[in-house]
Amino acid sequence: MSLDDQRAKRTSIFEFANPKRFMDASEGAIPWLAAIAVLTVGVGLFMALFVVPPERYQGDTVRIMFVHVPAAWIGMMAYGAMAVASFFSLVNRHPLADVAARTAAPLGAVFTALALVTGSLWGRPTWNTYWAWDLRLTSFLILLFLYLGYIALWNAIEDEILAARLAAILALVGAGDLLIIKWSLEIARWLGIEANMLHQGESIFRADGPSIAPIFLWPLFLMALGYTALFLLLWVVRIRTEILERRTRVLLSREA
Amino acid sequence: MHFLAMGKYAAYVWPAYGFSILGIGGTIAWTLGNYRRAKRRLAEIENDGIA
Repeated sequence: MSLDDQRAKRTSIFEFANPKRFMDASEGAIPWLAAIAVLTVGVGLFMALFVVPPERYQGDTVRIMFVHVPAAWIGMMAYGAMAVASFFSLVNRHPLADVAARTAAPLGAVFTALALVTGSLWGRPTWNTYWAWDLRLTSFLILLFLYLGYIALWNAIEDEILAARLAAILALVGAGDLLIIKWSLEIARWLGIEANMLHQGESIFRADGPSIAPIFLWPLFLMALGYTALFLLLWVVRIRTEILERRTRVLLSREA
Repeated sequence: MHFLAMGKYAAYVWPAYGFSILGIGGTIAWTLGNYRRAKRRLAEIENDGIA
């Protein structure tokens, strides 16, 4: 088989960038994603509320972690997905990349808002304040504004091609905020403003292993898996919705 | 009773779960509603023989 034949046969991720292929492939994924989401969130919630004991210092407020941390992860992951799709939208000019980026934005905004609200409710009993202008919290609030700005930009410009291009540039420029969120403690230390930091450092993805006990880690893992499956499910359904709506518009314009 | 009181933190724990359920539940309902509407609309147009 020649190299060209191999290339032609290879099932790469880009093959799914064809709307028809995406519709076929995603249809089979929907029940699986739904089943994973229901099962993991169900068991995760049961463990979070009934199995996990009150933490030694934080008491029952530790239960907020199981809805706060996964929401924050998805808020960031959705932006990452939006930025990658925007990159392919700018480079390959593929319409499905625009659709993927555009449909991820409202989902990311919801999870980011939930992370901010639940974090605020966790902050009051632990830090004695609902909000502080700490670098982690502030950069996370900026993430929400980036989502809202991105959605507003799409809605403000009628020319779809121009809107897609400008929105993609905004998404890529804003991706720098993800790095600030991730490295906020290190940046604050470097800037000499670590005294202003309230948010704790990394406790899961550490070089020396997670710093929280397994009884807390398991439900957190299940909830994170469930939130991820739920995000992917909603994202796929929203992309399918957009493809159906575009097809409807094409048929109607043919009729006209 | 202790469960509902969440130690003495019910005022923080339950709203955190409440907002999460409302926010995610609302997003699921909104997403599925739009999907069903889009499917129905396309089916109507295709049945009308435009396709």
